[in-house]
Amino acid sequence: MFHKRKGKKMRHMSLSLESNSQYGSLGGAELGPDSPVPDTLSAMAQSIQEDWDRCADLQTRIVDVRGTKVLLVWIRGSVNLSRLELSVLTPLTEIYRERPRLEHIQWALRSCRLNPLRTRREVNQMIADGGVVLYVDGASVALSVDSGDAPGRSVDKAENEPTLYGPQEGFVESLDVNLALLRKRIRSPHLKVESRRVGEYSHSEVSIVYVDNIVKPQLVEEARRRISGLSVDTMSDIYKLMELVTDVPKTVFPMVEETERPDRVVGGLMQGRIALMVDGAPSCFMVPVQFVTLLASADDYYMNFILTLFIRLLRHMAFWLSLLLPSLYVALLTYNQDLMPTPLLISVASQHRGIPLPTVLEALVMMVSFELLREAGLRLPRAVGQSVSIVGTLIIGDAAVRAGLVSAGMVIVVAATGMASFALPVYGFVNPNRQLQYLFVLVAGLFGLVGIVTLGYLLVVHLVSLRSFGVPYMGPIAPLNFHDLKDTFVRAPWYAMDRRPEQMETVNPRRGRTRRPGPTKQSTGENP
Amino acid sequence: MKSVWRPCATLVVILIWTTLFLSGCYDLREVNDMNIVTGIGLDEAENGMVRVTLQLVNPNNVPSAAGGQGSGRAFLTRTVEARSVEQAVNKFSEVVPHFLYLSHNTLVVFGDAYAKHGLSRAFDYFERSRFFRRNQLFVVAQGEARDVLAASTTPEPLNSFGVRFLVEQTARRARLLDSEQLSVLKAYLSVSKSPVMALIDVRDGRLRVAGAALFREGTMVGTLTPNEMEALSLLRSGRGEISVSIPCPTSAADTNTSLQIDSWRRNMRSSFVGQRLHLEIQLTVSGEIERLCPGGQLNKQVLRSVQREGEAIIQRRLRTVIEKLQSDGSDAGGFGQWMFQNHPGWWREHGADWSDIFQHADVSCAVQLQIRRAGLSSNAPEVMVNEVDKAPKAGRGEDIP
Repeated sequence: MFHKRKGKKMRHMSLSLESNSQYGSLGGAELGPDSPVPDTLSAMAQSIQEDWDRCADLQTRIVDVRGTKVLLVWIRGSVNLSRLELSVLTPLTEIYRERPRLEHIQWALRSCRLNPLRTRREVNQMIADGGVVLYVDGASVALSVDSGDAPGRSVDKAENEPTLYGPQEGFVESLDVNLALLRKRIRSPHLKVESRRVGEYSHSEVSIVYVDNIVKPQLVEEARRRISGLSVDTMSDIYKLMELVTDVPKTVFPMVEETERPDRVVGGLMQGRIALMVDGAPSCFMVPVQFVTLLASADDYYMNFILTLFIRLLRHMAFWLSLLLPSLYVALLTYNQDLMPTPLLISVASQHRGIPLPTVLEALVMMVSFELLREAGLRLPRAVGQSVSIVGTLIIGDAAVRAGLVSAGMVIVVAATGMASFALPVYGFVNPNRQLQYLFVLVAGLFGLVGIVTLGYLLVVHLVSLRSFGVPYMGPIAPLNFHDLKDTFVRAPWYAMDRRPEQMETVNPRRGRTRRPGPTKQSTGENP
Repeated sequence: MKSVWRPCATLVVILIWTTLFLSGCYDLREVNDMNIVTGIGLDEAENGMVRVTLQLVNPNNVPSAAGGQGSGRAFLTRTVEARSVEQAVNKFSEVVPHFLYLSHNTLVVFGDAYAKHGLSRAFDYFERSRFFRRNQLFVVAQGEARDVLAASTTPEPLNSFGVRFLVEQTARRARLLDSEQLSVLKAYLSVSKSPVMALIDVRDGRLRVAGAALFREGTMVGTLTPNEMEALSLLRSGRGEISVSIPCPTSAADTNTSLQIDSWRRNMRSSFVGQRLHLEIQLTVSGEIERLCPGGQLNKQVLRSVQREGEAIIQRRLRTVIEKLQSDGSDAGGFGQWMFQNHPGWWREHGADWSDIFQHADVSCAVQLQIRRAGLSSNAPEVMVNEVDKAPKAGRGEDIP
């Protein structure tokens, strides 16, 4: 009996929490958030003052329109004042009717987009969203006037994912602009955008973007389910959302594909994936994601498909090099010297004469120095950062070798590892590798190649066990899908990629029916 | 249940993590704490002792772009005497600081006195030890192995590499057989039991390939000169660069027609005349003309005569080397192996007496020479010039009537 009652109580609590997360708790303390708008201006003004107590940026203004008092409320900075003046205040002064009522004022403001607000919650939400709330004395509803102009930057180059070819536009911090960038590329009503508010305080808009006649419906349903279950204070960036909707939180590998390029998102949507976007985030992420997708760059799709083969293979090599190179060097120098060619061993031995640290420590010292240098260069202002890089490079590259603290070979290995990690197209891959390489070096220092092989085996087991929204992370390699291999190590020509990836289980698997290009027999004058 | 499992799982993880460090890096070897051995020499010492010489790399003196100074010698040699090779190698820890690293050894030199006493003991050590690679080169020194290991091989700074280069480039011209451990041991364990190794000589502190050492069942029984080695190479099917000189009909001493043999194939037939084995070797060789006698013109007759004389010379060289092999009792031509493969029934009955049978066998050879290309010109350059092309006689100091 006791348990039953407890269960009921719990359910009630969870319900109230959910409703809070969806609509926030901005309502007044006495009347409750869902109480209707007060019917007098003074009561309305008072209720807003109560709700927005100690909010210095709240602006209220009472305008007398031929005997009827009109209350205007907005947040300073979020509203374009000249637009407000032009579209609201000027039309109000042009009303000649004595004591105009709500409908008269609505008629006067007919050029603006007006929405009725019936509850205090709606009123508060509109103010928080950066809109202007207009209340006419004696009316039973308030009106929202769309003259919001939240500060933000204009569309700019994608700084973090630069490409040589193709469009250069990147997402900005405004969801509307970002969606418009997608609409610009997919001019079809099949591009669906489902939005909902997440965050008890931030009320951020989170959108699920997909193409409804391509994507697997269960995938969208799963995304809806995961987002509706969220209960957080704020949701101002995609990284929090990423962590909260992922399949496997306890992994270092990126389980979503983050991007700030609209063209990349369009490519993903056409593969039958969905994009999740958050208002205020200059990037979005796509799910499901696969390991091989993260090693593809937008450039691969813009350049010749034959040339792509080499670049893709290079990137796959770079991934494993950035993970394993220092540990292989340590293992070869500490345990498995017999695997090196004799001239190389002699050369390495001559470099190592007089170096006080064991190879494994030498590697760790160098790797930590390199990380420090990278962090310092990243966090400092650009002008100072450059000088730090130069000084650091000199110290690590030259002075340390001359002082006999580290060997030149080790400097080369650590630098090559850094370079390999910079060659990865998705930054989400760089961080896991630079942390995992410490583990590999440690194991190499303890067990040599046997340790590396064992840890590598565990890593592969971990990788193949991952799922992103139900899709195997290591697909189409494991489980093997020959059809999907067309866009992994190679990028097949577009005419050959006539089907969408099978592992995405799209409802419309056909991508196109373009024939292989080339002259027809008629055009060359040959007899058919 | 969860509350019971969690501490257990934590404990297991801690234990596994701790075991990682229990290994204590027991076989950790830093490169700067090792002596890289690149050559080993084995010599016979007095009282049945063996003298082992090791060639150790001195990394700082190896000239390289990585910063080697190259001022002193790139290697040093150390010698120890003991009752056996393995005891001697162990004894080095008492005379050389830093531990020995044998995995990169590339050269094993046997002194000829040691080789004449049999190499079976050394073969077993090098085959059994897990430190050695199987591609190390086995050579025999004409004299002491330690002299070979200490000699200069300029411009190659490391002696063992220098010896290897010498042997390999000589073998490429078919003047030596492959002398790597794997090949030597294969020949030693085959039914012929007659490996051949490169023979190195030291003259005025410099090395040279003196030919090859012939073995019978692991014991050195004789040597062959590089020219004889060419003939031995011909007795085994293969490729290489063998030069054959045919004297010119004119009397000039250093004028001859040169043939460059580059591939050959051996066919054999066996028969018995009573108890005596008769082996017929049919050798097909092909090559090019490298040089023609001065004033020579390559017509049909000349070509045929070059062919005939070339066949006769090769045949003579083959006969000489076969006689030498028979007198030394070394079946380096691999005839026993051929008999074993082609007449296994006969071999089962007589294989044990093969050495004796081979020494008394009647071996005949027939050579067929195919001249493939005559080069870019079919005649000697002098033939191209005639009287018309010459300057007027007046210009050559002669009076014109």
